[in-house]
Amino acid sequence: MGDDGITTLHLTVSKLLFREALMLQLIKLPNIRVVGESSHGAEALRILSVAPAEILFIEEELEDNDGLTIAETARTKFPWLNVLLVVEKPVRQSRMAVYLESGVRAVVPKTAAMKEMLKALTYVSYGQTYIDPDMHWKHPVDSERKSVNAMSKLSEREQEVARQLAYNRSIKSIALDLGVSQKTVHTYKDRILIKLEIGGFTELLVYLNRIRQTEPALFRGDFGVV
Amino acid sequence: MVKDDNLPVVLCRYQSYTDVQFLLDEFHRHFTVITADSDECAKRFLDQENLFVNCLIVTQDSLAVGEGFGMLLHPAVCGERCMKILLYEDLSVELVRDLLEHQVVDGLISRQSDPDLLRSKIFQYTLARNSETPKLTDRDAASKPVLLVVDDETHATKYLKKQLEISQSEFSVYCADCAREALAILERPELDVAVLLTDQRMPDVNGRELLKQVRKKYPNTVRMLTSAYGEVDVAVDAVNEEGLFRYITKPWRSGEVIEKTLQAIQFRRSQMDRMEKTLIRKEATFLNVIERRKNRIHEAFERVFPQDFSFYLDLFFDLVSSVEVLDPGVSVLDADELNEIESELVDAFVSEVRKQYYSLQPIQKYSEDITRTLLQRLLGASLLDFDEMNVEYKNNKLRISNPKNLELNMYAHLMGPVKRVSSQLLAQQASLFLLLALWNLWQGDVQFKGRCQAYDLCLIMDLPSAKGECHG
Repeated sequence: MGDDGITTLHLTVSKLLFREALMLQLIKLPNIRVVGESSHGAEALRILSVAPAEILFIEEELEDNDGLTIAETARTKFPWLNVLLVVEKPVRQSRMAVYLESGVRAVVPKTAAMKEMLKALTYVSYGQTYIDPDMHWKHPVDSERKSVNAMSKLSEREQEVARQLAYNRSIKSIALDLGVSQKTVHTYKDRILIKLEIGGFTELLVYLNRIRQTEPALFRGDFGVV
Repeated sequence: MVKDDNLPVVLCRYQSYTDVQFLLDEFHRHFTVITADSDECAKRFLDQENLFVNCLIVTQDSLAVGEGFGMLLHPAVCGERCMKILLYEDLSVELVRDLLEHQVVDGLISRQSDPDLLRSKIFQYTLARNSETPKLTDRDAASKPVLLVVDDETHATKYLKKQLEISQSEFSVYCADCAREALAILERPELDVAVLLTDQRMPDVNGRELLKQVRKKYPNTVRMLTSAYGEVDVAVDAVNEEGLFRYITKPWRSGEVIEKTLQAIQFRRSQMDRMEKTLIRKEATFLNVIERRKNRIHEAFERVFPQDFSFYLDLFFDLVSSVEVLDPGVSVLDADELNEIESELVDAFVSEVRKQYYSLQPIQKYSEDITRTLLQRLLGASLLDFDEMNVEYKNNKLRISNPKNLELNMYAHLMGPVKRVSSQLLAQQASLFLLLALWNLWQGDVQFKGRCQAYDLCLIMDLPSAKGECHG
């Protein structure tokens, strides 16, 4: 970590769509600054030598070279570099040993939830090692299931707002519908964020939409279905 | 080393049930957790011959009621193979100092910290202990080891230096008044800085930050911290993150400094010896691995192809061996992982060659298209295009080479360590092999010069007919 408490990061992901989704999450983190991005391993090494970073966030399966080899090569040039490796499928313990020895600080499977990845990144930015608790058997669906139960934590009014949000309705129209001010709806929304431990409004919408798909029973409301 | 089918064994010596409750809840899926509520009970576990404990967790309150460090000094948990963690509630600098003095802990974890931290630590230690071992250097072992004292109070360091130099002749003493000066001294190639003793509170860069940098750049230097203030957080972090060897409280007593420095030098010597042994073993194992891999590829080729490729295979092996790649790690040589990677690698390489070979018909005569296809794939590793190569046709000779100032990349190859069977690596290696084989078959000349993770390539062929002009 630099003197200003900000950690610099280089992002190497071959698919633009995936990279941009990650960028959206990364720019929201106050203590991380993305100083370079690339879609190929050879490119990553070239950029790192002119714009050094403290964290290398790299995908294992790249189109030009093997991501793990690139990460190791980068570490021989910049020994302080902490590597977060995104792998195709969850790894086994003996495989994990190979990664750790290569200087990888955290391994995140592509199937992991965004929250998991951000947690791993936080550990890595402090120079720690992070090993996912569900190392060899993770499925994103599991974490969603758990969160369905979390809906019961909400009050009746909050559930109502959540339900409407799940149908992509605007704050304004929810306010009209419930006969309260927009400010009140915002307050409900903020409380939902806290209770469900969700970081932002966009994530909340994604999350609620997903529950609506998987557990329609929770969302049988008396308002018009879109 | 821990295998998939048997989880690391964690023994927890606890006093209050809540401590062990949290461990069982959090860790039962990842570790085999055994618990002991008394030293006798814990010892019974440790005495069992068929039970190997990977990690011993001792809670602070049990340390207080038991026989001090007794548990942590049990022969079954001493040495490199078992990690020892103190789970603390409220730690004093004196306790940290004493724990380090007896070399009884590898980690100090607060009861309040995130269970993920503890879990990651145990995993890292049990899976990849070797990743943190120091590097061997070519430093002249005959020169006297150096103790480097870093403190901004120059009169104190001057006095200590004098005292230490009068009372012993085992090591010499250098002083620095800030981190920058300390790093400059570490940089000097004629000095063998064996031990670093740094104060925590200094203007600019503090002691912990210095320890961190030294650990990364000079892992062979044993690190000690000193402070007049009892900053326990700093000491705990230094133990956990920077692998602190000793903590010395101020004011310094020269006898204590000498004693601890000598212990540090001894510790370093044993670390280096161990490293050397591991390195020798690793190199020998690795040579075997490559030899076996060559044979297996030869055998597989004989099975799959009617033609005899063995001459070209040996040529290919020779050429790529000249490209310098990364060192093999230790864990990749671990039997299970290795067997799995090796057989997958050989099979995948042979089927990749086969796939490419049969898509390249006819191959009897020189073909520009085939050359282009193979080179294009090979150049993928360098993010280059075939059109960026130098292609010349002069005096009936065709010459294809990489631009002068641009070496081609080869970060890994089949005669080096392969930690993962990557499809790109296989495709590129197969193309290089076929390029070599076909150009030989077509009576062309292939010049290949290996460099560090790179190579120069030059393909030359006599083409008397007008055919070559299309390259012009």
